[in-house]
Amino acid sequence: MGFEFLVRARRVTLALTVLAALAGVVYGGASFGLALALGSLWSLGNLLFLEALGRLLIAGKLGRAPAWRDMALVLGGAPLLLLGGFGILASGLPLLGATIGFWILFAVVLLKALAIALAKALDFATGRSVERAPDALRRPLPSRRALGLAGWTLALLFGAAFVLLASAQTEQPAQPARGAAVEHTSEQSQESGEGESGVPELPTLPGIVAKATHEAPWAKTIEAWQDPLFSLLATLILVLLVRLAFAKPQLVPGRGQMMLETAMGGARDFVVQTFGPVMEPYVPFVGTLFFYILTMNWMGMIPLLKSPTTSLNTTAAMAVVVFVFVQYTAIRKQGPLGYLYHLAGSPKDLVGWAVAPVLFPIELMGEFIKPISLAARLFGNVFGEDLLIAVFVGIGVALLGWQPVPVGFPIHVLFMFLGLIMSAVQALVFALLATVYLFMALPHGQEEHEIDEHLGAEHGAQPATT
Amino acid sequence: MPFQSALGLALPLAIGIAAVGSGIGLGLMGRGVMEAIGRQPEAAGKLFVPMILGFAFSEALTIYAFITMFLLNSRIH
Repeated sequence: MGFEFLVRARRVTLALTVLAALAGVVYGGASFGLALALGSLWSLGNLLFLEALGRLLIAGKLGRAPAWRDMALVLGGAPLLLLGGFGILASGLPLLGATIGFWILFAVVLLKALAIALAKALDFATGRSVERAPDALRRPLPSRRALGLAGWTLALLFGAAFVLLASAQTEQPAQPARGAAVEHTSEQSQESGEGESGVPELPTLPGIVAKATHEAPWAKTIEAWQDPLFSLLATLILVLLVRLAFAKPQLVPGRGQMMLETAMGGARDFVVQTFGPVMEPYVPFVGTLFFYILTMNWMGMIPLLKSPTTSLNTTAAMAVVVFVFVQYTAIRKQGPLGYLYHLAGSPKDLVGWAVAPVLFPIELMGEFIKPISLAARLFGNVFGEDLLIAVFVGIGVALLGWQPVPVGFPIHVLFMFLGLIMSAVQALVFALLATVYLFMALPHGQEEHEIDEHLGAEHGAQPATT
Repeated sequence: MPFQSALGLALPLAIGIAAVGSGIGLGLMGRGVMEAIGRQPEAAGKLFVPMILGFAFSEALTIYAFITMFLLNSRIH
């Protein structure tokens, strides 16, 4: 039983804590999120303390001198932990949040142990344990099957939570409705009126199901959640496509493999040729963005489906991902001080330093405006284009409205071709801008050097050809 | 004039005016790129990325007007 397990558990817990604290701040208020984070941090401190204690106890057995760091952790940790725990309890923060935060670590450790045990059991049941390393804990990562099992468990839990949420939503508004029936009905009529007179939208599968079941609560919930579900579908399509095409990769590729290899190689060549080889490590990220957005945009062209990118939520989520990744890359590659220096406009002489206090807020603001414009651009374009198609479908139906036929005049097909092109361009723009932001986040010297080299090569080639 | 009718008049106008600006910008940029490609056809690949980026930035201005319209659309009625 190595400490590696604990290290990994700690890392996962830290990530989960950040997520949970963010969710807590959003849904339960700032104090709730803070309590969650503090509770989890306290729990992590406990783990650190125990780890140090364990190392101290083992040190004698291994014949090694105990590390001073562990001694200090054990001696100083106990009173600090006690004080911290007392502080959390006495600070008046929501106890529920702190408790949930405290249990995150335990949940992670439990789930990890369960996954490993399951993987081991499966290995044993399928007779694979013979040919594999006997100690599943020593493996650098839990086996693929364990990951898959954890994924399925999570998906099932998510589904259960979804159903619970759906059933809870139907009961809650019903109770206050009795008290203020008039207000409620007027509100409802306003809402439905707004929905009808708002933007024209093509029918989607969840919407039709909701209509067919007379707005059953579960169908309504699915309809309200259709954007995330459709983006999930896009992910599934991509994953299935890749898995099918690369199930048995061959030296002489088949049709599917050939197509996907061309697409991926094209993405890589495009980035490397435009920005130079510095950007090659980021090709998977921006390439994924491109294909994901392309799939989502083109989903709007298929009847009964909808582009998830017509919702600002989807595009904003992707923009936030790009923002976080760009900032992470900038800090990672330039160092914290270099990052601040870069934000101040990289001053080199006295004038540069004099202007730096003015430039700094502007650059900082620019960093935050970038994701906003990214999200708004993609949303606006895709939304406008799908709206255009929907409007022309409506016109086509109205053109044949004088006859009792259930079909319309297909004048929107022209705009669907336009939509195909525009979708691809918008996906390209999003991925390209993400690449540019990443490129700007890289250290300047390296970047300029690369550009010079790149241009130099081009210039060198030019006179030779002319 | 009640603000609803003011909004009803202003929102389509806002998009139109923004589209005029974007259109001029896009046209100028397209002209520049076309001329450059005409003068030096082998540079077409090099021009592609700056062109797309320029189009994206210029077109975003209309998109902002479009989004503003949808933000304020529900307040008309």
